[in-house]
Amino acid sequence: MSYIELRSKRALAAIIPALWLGGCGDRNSAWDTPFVRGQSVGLTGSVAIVDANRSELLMLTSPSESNLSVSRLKVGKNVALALPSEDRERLFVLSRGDERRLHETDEKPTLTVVEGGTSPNIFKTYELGDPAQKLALDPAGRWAIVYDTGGVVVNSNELVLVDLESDDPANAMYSKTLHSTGGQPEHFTFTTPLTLPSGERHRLLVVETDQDLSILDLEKPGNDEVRVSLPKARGGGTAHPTLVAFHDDASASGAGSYLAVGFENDSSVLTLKLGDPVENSMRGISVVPNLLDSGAVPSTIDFVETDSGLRLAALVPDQKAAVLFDPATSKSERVEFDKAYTGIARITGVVSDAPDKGDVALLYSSRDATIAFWRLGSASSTPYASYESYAVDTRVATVLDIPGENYGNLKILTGANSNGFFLLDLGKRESYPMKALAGFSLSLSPDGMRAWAFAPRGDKLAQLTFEKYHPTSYVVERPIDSVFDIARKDGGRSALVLHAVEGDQQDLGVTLFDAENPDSARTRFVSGVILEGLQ
Amino acid sequence: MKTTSVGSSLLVAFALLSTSARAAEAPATEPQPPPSAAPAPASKPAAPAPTAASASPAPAPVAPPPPAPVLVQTPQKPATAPLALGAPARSSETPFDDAGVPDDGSLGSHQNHFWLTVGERTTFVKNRGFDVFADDDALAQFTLAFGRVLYSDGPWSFASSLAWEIGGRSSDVRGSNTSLQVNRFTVSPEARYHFMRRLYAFGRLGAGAALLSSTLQDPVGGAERSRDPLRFTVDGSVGAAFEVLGHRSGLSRIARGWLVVDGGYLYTASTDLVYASSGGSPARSAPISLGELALHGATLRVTAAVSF
Repeated sequence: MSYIELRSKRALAAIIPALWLGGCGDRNSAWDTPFVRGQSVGLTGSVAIVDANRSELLMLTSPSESNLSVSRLKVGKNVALALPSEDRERLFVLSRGDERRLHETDEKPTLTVVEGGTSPNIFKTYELGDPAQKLALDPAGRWAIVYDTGGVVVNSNELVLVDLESDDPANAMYSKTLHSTGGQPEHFTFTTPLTLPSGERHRLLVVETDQDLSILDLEKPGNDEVRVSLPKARGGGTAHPTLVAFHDDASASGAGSYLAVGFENDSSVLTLKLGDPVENSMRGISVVPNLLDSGAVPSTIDFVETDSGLRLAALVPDQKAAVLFDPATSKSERVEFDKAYTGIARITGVVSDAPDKGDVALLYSSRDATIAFWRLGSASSTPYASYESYAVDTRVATVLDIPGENYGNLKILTGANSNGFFLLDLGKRESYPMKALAGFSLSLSPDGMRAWAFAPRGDKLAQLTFEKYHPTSYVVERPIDSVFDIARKDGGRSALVLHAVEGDQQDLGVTLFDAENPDSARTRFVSGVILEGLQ
Repeated sequence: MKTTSVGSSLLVAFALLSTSARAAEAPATEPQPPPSAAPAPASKPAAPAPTAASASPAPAPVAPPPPAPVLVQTPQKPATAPLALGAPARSSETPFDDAGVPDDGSLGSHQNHFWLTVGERTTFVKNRGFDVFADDDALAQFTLAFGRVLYSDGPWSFASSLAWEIGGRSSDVRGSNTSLQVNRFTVSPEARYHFMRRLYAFGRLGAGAALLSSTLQDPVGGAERSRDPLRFTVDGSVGAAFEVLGHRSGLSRIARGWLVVDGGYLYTASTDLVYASSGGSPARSAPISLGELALHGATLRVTAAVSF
């Protein structure tokens, strides 16, 4: 073999592996990232699905009938929570950021606000100091409270108040540590503007801990909060607050604005009359507490207008009664019922033949299959004749309001463990029982025109229109995970029936209906949703 | 497989055509008989062998004159005469190669031959659509080709071949299995230059069609989706072939073994990765789109060839 021949072979042997190595490259890591589904949240014009491993939101929209569009919005790493605003216009995504932040480029914890319309986009992103686990949202859309931070040392009473209306995200956050005697925040109540004796109106944030109560003035979030010590429970220990109600004396009639607090382990009810700030105080308000006794642990409390004026109503189902407290004088009146009502909802504005004076309330019970209309305008004068009870098919666990203004006269009452619900027409005082599949879920359309009922993991769903109370059933070809009714870009509405494959290999599919005119023969099935937007 | 049978048919057809063409050319390339041990009658120098211009577009190597009569009992060692590329030996006697085959020093069957080649081609595809099917950029294909030299002139020769290449990748995208199989059928003309009898360089241009068969598993739909578009494909490469087996003599008709390496660029017209649902369930399934597949990139081919 000649020298040239030998050298040629060696050269070839060297070139081939070099070309191999030089030509190989890794693909986009997106393809190798398994899909792990986080929360799925229906918004007004889109459905947001947390793609947990990619720290993204899959935003499903429907540009037109039978048409699904999928886009991706990047959010912070390690999504802890995704919570929609009450009107479902926005989605708030709390992310913990990089677990081990070792470099400047590593992500910090963030709060991402997403506009959830037909063209979803990121509205604002707030960088947080520490990773938080929990989020509370202001129903009015002004504030978000971030709390329960993680870390080696955790200050449980530290809250981060985010002013969502501030134009400068860097200066929109107020960090506040509540004065504490050992408790930690459990529940937040945002009030409407409450009128002080001076005429000033302040929105308040009531923070319930397991041991006390703090009241923050949202008009001046930098001010000190008002801390209210709670009474001792009869069984020992501190009374645990679980119920908060408020009343605004908008007419400045002199009755005053009030807060009221009920407890899960005590029959006491605490009222707090709001006052102007005391001189030289760092607090924006003052409160005058008053402790009342309802005789048994109340299931709910609410301020109501009766024929005798403002009263704090406390339902005490153990005694099949309600106690009406006059917050000004602390005097109480007792109304005996035929059943143990556990819930109350004021329906004064929507009920037919509403009295000129006093509220009308809907009473419902999770203990007995009954509801009642309570005319509070005669509750003081003729308490025994102030309510009318109606037997229903189920014990009521929750009362759902219909969104929007079209069907404010309707309530949906769902049972705790039943296979049905009923539609209550407050205007006509009629109820329409609806039988449903066992374990059904109910999804209200944000426009308040219809509801969708379905049995999770089943293949059947039904649409109930509020116009005619007409349920129509449909069949889909894959098990149902959830149903969302969203606005389309073309002005119509689509119902997105989500199908989920669980287990090691998670996946998503969608069956699209025209929500306003559904037809099983005009659906569109879309799979491969998790692959969209990765090319 | 349907694609395989088509490729085989093409190869057989090409072989038949090539054989008949070779038969017409045979007189020009027929080796002269080996020298006889018996003294040949003295005669005037033989006339040059007739050329077969009508059978071959290029002048065939002129056959060497008959050897002068010599008395030898055993074949002589070949003379260490310099190699005359493509030219007839000038000496008046034909030497022998190591294997005792008469060697007139010509390229002979080193250059003019049929060949059958098998090997592997790797194409480095940077296209993002290819990522759907592979976790790196390499597309390896088995390659099978059959061809023949159509024309030669000195160290230059021109040939053509039919090739079939098959290969693919499989992977998964976020858990959904995918696969891609590429069948390429090409006609590849090439030009060669012999540096020596056992080594030549070549440039090759291939054009044809590629059948891009791919599948995507649809876990929600519960079925596998597939598509099989046919796309135009072309590739250009340069390379070298080294003869590793075979007699030194160009007169030998014994088959030769070659190692062939070439590299270049391969282009296949792009196709959308849009997977429609083939079954009826779920009804009215929307297609799944995974972008665009464009199989093009640098390519390297290593093959073993047999020429005859």
